[in-house]
Amino acid sequence: MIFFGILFAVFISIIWLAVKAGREAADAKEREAQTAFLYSLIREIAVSAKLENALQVIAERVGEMFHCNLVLFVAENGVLHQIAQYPSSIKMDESDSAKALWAFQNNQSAGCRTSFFSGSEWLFLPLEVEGHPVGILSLALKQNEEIISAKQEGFLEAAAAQLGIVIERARHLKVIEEARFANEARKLETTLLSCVSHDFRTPISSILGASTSLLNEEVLYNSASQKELLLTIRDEAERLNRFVMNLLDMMKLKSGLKLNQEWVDFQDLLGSSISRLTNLLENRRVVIDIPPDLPMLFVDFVLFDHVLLNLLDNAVKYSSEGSYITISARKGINSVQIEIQDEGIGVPVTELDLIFEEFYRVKRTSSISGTGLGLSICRGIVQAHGGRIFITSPDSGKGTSVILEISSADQNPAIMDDPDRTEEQMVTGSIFSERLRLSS
Amino acid sequence: MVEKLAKILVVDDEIQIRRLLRVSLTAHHYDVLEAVSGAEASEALASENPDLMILDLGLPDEDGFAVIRKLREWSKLPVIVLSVRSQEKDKILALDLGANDYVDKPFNMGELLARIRAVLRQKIQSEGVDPVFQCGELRIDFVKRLVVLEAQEIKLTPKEYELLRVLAVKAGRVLTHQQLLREVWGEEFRDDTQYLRVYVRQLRQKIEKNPAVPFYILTEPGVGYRMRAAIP
Repeated sequence: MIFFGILFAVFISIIWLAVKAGREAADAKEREAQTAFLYSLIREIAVSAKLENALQVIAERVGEMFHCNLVLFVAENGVLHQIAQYPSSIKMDESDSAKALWAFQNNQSAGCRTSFFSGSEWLFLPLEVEGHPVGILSLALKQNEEIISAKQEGFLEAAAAQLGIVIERARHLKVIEEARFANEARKLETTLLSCVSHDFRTPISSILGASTSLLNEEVLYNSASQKELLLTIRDEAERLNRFVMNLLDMMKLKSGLKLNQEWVDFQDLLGSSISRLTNLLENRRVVIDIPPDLPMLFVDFVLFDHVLLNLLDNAVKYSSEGSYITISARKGINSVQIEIQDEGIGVPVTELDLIFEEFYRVKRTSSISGTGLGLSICRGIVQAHGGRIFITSPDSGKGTSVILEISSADQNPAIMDDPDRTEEQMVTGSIFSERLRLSS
Repeated sequence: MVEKLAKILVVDDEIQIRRLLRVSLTAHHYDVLEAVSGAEASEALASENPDLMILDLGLPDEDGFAVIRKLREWSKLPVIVLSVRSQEKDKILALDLGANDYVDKPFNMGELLARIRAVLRQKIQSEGVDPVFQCGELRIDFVKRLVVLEAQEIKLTPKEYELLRVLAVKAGRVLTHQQLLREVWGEEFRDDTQYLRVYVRQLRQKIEKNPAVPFYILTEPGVGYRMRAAIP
């Protein structure tokens, strides 16, 4: 965005120069042509996504304007790269490229209409920023029989100066962007390493401890103890698996999520998540409250399944045995609200927003093992669907409510042309009562 | 001596997984053959005549998909994919190529054994379907088109019955959204998953004790549905 802002500002100033030059020009027609040209340039630049594309557009337009071949070079580490040309098939030969390099190294206009290499058919104009060249604009003016006016030449020089600024700023932005990216990657790497080394070690320790106990031939465990050790291994391995799933989800979120949205029945979704948490939910009382007329959600089933897994995992992790976990859904205006409520330790008011940050963990929960990834992933997924997720916690010790708000269709997706409704034969029972139920 | 149940070919390049499967499956009276690559698998398939193949998709020499594709050119041998590839599109591709089922790694041994039994039963039944499906309290009489739950007759619309029938005939095995839509609604409805969602919801309201925690019709996220296998 910043890049386009700069481009726009630069071309406004080119217009200004052109208008100024044009005001003094005798030829009104030429002025008109130049202005039209610059407007069309800005229009095209606004839709191009990269510096290269923008420069290509400029090359084509300037080339068309002067009716001549054109090559634009950008310097990188002292080497010139041909980055744009007009027409597209043009490639500068070696001897002319050498002259371009000379013009760049000496920061000096060269070629025809100058005192250096005046025999060349090309004019080489350095694109400079604060006295330093950043590229070369070359035009094959000799092939053009028309003689360009002094005004046009002035315009060319001004354009070259502005082009230099565009290139230089784009390069600065790129460097800043790269540094920022590298910095973020480093930060993530460090946090990940500490997360893996600390939070993964707890379940691994339990698994190693329990399995080596069972393998120890000096001790004979009774069957109850054996089972307890085996359950430890299973539960801890399941926990590790959830960690890994979260890490994978986070990587997906970082690299740009691809949603596979479809119509989803919330009851179906919840059922699938609960069935995979049977062991975990064993010691909680789960209450489910879903109205029968709840509209369908247009979401990615698998990702929302992960959201529910994380939220239910949290509800269990921070609450005590035998407590209630209530999952309810409500129909809102063009939206569906889903609430997962537990009777656990709650979240302090000051940390209600922080809790969604990556790797953030509520301070007093440090004794409960966790990565601080779950909620940030939930938020990432919900937001990618244009939804909202927030937490209310009445007071410490009085439980937590996580609320998801997802836009939905006002009604269920049309099955108006439901083939079932046109069939006359029923398997059993009365057609009439069935039809009523379907259409309600 | 206990009679061996069936000969199972395990194709996986990881020794830990092969060891685990060998020990567990042998304890359940299956004969276990092992292969570490696609080439070894092809050899064993041709010479050992197994009853079932458990296949990892990531093999050192070739893609597991290729193994299924080649096998299906000449054999209907049941294949269960056992793989860490958790991308739903990979699962669907494997099923479309002719795999009979898949189980995600990491896996639960009880779950894998149940799938093995379901797939092997299917093989025995391939000559003709049982006229009656019975699982828990649910009974479907395919001849009379009758559905009974806890001795109570359940009234279903034709499409509801058709969906239940298709699921029950292949009980224990996953059916993709597309497979179900094609079979119940027809080719032109293959992408209209909303029909499926609505009818699964309706069916569950009628046959499940707690529709939010279904027992009979199970959801495979992003892939399809599976009917709980009949309890013999």
